[in-house]
Amino acid sequence: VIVRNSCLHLGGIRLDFEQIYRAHHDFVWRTLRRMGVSERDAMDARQKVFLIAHRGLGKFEGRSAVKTWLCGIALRVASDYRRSAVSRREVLMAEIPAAASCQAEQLRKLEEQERIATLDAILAKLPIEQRTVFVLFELEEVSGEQIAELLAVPEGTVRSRLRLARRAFSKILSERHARSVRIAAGGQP
Amino acid sequence: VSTEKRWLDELPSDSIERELLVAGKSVRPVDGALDAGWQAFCATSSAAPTAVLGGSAARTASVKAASGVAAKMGMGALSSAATIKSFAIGLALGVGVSGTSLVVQRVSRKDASSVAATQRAPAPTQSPAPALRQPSRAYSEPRAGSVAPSARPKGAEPAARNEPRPANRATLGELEASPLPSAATTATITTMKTSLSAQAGELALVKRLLDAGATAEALRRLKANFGTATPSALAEEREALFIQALAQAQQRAEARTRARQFVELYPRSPYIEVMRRRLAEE
Repeated sequence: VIVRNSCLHLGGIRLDFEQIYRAHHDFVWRTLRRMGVSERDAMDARQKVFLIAHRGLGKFEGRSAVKTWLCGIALRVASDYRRSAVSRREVLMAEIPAAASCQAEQLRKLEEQERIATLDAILAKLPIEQRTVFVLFELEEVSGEQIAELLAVPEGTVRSRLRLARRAFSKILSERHARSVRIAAGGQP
Repeated sequence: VSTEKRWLDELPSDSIERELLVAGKSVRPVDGALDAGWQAFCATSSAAPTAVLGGSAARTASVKAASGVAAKMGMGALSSAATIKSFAIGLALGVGVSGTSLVVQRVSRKDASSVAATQRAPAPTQSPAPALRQPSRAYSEPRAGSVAPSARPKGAEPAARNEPRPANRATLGELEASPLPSAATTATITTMKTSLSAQAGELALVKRLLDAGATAEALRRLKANFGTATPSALAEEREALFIQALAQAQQRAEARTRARQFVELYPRSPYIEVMRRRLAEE
């Protein structure tokens, strides 16, 4: 790996930082959001990830994929964010979708937002180790091997966390569903 | 559970889990976030390392970088009143069309005499470090801090630490501590006027950061580079941006207080309607 003028030279392929930024922008943003960074702060957190990456270009040894490397940074930034949110005594929770008018396109968007809000609410209830594995494997399609490398755990541990995460995900979803049925029937939440 | 097979491949097609996973995989940031993010990144990545220096050293480096870029761009260019005007127009366009005439008038009325001072200012000796590639969309205005200290060759000390400062340059930090123009010495007046272009560039940058959603960085830059005591021809524009940044950062109470002060202080400002609307919204 050679770093020159904000460029990575990986095995004869030249990648300038703008290419890296554009190729992984959405992935970084999504990872931050699913790992608990609020919509309001996601853009700032995203910039932080790329700033750290840019400063650390010289330390990148090319042993892992660029995506895995960025993912590691994003996980640390999200972790810092959650910690600082605790110190600020903020309660991180799924965001309520903004109200929209009931036109067809708006309705579709609203439904989409509700799904995302539900997903975030469920993810927020998973233990952080399970959440990390679940988000990376199921949503971002990072391989089990790469996750194991990223988290410095055996691949068996990744499998086990994934199994627990899926089970917990379904359980929380069922509970939410049961609660909404109770509310719809006029009962207590 | 296998780490070869995704859950999505195993879930029944009508399951809610599947719906949620599909939604989670397909969600994207808002349109334009990528381009705006890259532009903001170019701005912040070159400015960020100055924060490591801390305090006045950081401000010195920041202003030096800004004026260094201005000189590098053959300014020359900045030495004409027309360029300073267009600089301010660029800023005003960002802040609001209605502000344009005000800024141009202010700059041309108050700062025409600063042109000579700018011409006399020695070109900085600092050579630009390899900078990030700028976004494909070209900017017409000079960019404060577009020299990227982060890409400075290893071993090279930041210029702000060792280089003697040119005699007729001052940092914004020093301006904060300087007396009002009426009581200031001729030298101070000259330095203040010379830094006007740097201030305008900085405000334009802050505006772009706000548009890109980088609110925290915008606030940091405003607080670091524009103390409230700074005697500046662009104080009104600075305050308008500061209030916008506070509102974006959900610091509504402070935004409201400052908006109220703004209305009292600048009753004939082109931003007055914006401020009144903000007060009415609260």
